[in-house]
Amino acid sequence: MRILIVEDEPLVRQRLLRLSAELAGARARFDAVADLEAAGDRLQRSVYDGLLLDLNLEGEDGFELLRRAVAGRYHCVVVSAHRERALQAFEHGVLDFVPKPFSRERLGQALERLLDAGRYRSGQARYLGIWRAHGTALVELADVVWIRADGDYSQLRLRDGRDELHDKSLAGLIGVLPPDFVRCHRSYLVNLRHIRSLHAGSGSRYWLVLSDGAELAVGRAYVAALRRELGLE
Amino acid sequence: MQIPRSLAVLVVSFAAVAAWLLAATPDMTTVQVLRGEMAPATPTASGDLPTRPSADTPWRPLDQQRLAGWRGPYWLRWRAAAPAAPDEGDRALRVSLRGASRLYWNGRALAGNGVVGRTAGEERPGRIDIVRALPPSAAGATDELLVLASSQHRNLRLRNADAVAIVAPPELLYGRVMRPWLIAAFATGALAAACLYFLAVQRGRPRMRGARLLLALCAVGLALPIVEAWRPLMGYAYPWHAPRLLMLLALHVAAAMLLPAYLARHFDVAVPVAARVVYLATLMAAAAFLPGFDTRSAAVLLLSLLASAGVLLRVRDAPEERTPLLALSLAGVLALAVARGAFLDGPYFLLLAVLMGFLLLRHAAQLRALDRHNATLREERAQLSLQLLQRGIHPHWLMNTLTCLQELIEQAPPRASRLVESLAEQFDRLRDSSTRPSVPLEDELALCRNHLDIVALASDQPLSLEVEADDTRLSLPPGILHAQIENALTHAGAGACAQHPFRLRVHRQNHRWTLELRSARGSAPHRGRGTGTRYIEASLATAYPDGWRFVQGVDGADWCGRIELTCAS
Repeated sequence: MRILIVEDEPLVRQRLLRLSAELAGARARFDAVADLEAAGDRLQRSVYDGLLLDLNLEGEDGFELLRRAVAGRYHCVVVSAHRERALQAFEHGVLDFVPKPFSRERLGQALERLLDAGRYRSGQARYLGIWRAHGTALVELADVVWIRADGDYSQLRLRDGRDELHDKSLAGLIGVLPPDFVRCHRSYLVNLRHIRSLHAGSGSRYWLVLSDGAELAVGRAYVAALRRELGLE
Repeated sequence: MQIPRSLAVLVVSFAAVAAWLLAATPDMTTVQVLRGEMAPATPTASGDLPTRPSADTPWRPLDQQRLAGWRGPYWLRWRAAAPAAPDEGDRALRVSLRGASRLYWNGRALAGNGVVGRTAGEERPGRIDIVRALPPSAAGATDELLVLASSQHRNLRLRNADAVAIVAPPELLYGRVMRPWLIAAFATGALAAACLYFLAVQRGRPRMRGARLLLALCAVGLALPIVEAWRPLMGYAYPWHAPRLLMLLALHVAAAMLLPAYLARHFDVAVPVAARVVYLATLMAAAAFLPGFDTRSAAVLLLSLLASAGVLLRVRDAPEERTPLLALSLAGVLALAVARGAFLDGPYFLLLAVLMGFLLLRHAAQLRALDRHNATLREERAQLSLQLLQRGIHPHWLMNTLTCLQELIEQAPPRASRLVESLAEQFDRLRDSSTRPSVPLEDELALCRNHLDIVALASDQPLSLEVEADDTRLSLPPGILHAQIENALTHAGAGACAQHPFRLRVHRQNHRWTLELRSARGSAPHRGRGTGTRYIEASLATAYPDGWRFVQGVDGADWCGRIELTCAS
């Protein structure tokens, strides 16, 4: 696993590199850069699975950076002194928020989440960043009806019928999505808020009727869990 | 708003003057002014003063100017037709004469006034105005008042003797003389109350511009009616008449000097020295060389009102104050030109009292406004102190620095120790600065250098501040250079600032200071519109309400912040 550290303070950068390398051991390789421009170069040239990101890089608005960071395929952990904006960071889809000054243990927790994102299921994202030609757009997760795996990407179906493509895989998204999103199929996550009913058909086939009238097939392996989430048991 | 205010002061002063004139003008149908004659009194053969004028006494018509030079003893004789009916009613006589006198009414002796004497040693001065009840006259006859008088104690040659005898009902001579002065007393009381109110409001505050002149003008305004009313209300022995006239003239001259001076000072009107000298010379010439005290006083007052109007015409702002004062001054000029004699005594004082009352109340209102402004400033200052502290311990900067400190403790303990010391010094300086409205430039520079030390230790990059100053005796609101340096470090980064040292140029020209701080330009698009800029602007606005300017922006390869201050120091 490759993780990129983006931090402009040299001593903090050194500390992150040193502690992360010690904590992750052989499970990950770390690179560090001082600004977002250098980070952009690295991210284009190499595939990274995670980002340790400082929010305030030489005066740039941290949340502008954050949108761009969380729109990527990698997961993002924020390491910042802006403690008061942690909740906002989670809403933007970060996996964790490590406030400065940080202890070895707290950084260790964040790295564990980053190294095994799929295992953790307590995301609080309210928005997802979507790459666009002219920048990053935010999509409110409440407007997303379902999410479908599309190779290394994810297709988002919105309430108004539009589709958006996200750089993260379905497995990657699970780590940041709120509990409203549950698997109903090997390739689908559905937003519980938009389910109108669950129907059983012949041959133990199930499907969901969604708020826009569309139907979504339910995989047999996911029926029981879905019934629990819907309070049908 | 200034038109209703002008109307109000004009209406108040016109009402007061009209009331005065109404109360002071007697019913002339009941007043009889006697025709007078005068002649020197020849001592008897024994050398005593005569008791009756001799048959060959050379009577001549009463000539006030000539009489003003006579010391006596001399005879005065006033005659008038007696009333048609003996039971016409009680009558009284009023004689105004600057001398001691014996009085005979139709041959009957009346109560005398002082002791007539051939020399100053023999004479006991009489009062300047006397009133005597008259015995009934014979019907159809001629009334005659015969007065043997002497004026040996005249200490100043006056142009006119002002010797007058009138016969009128007793209530007119005894009582009605008080009525106009009740109005003046009311105006004096109002002026004194306004003066006390002003003093109470002024107490414990820094003096406002022109406050001393205004108080001096107040003292003159209060003294004037007292000296004026001395004669009709209290009376005095005739030698006091000339000093009283001199006192009045001096008060008029003082008012004539103080009023335009106060207005020029209060409204900050620059009056050339030559104009001041010419005005004072004209004033003194009028007071010294014009004939008669009344003419002198009228000329002095006219000059003062014209000068005041001239000053007020040059005032460009404050119309709410200027217009009412201008209206009053011009009304006074008009009244003096039209009715010089009638306007001189009470009416002029009443006009002055209204004008002074208006000035005092406006001045007090300005003090109250200043109080409110100061309270706002104190509140702003408290908020700025809090902001300064908050900025100094800004969580983002502090947490980053503490993280650096964590790493230094593990990597380089001696550097960590220096960083702790620098942090402690920074907080100490900030705590000290936040309690003060301004700090010397040297202290502010020390705070900046201290901050740069901390950042340099944390980033392991040298940061420096170069100062070029031709004068450093300047005090600044605390933290305004510190905020600029902090902004530069935040937006351009420590790396860029390390390669591009901070350069401060302090320049002074007269009372104008310029502080130009240049730093690394950086690339952040929003620089110059954040809390740092707002803090600097709020601090400067509080410390120099009308004398500051702050501009910042890109200048070539630099980010340049330029502060301009106008201050007395």
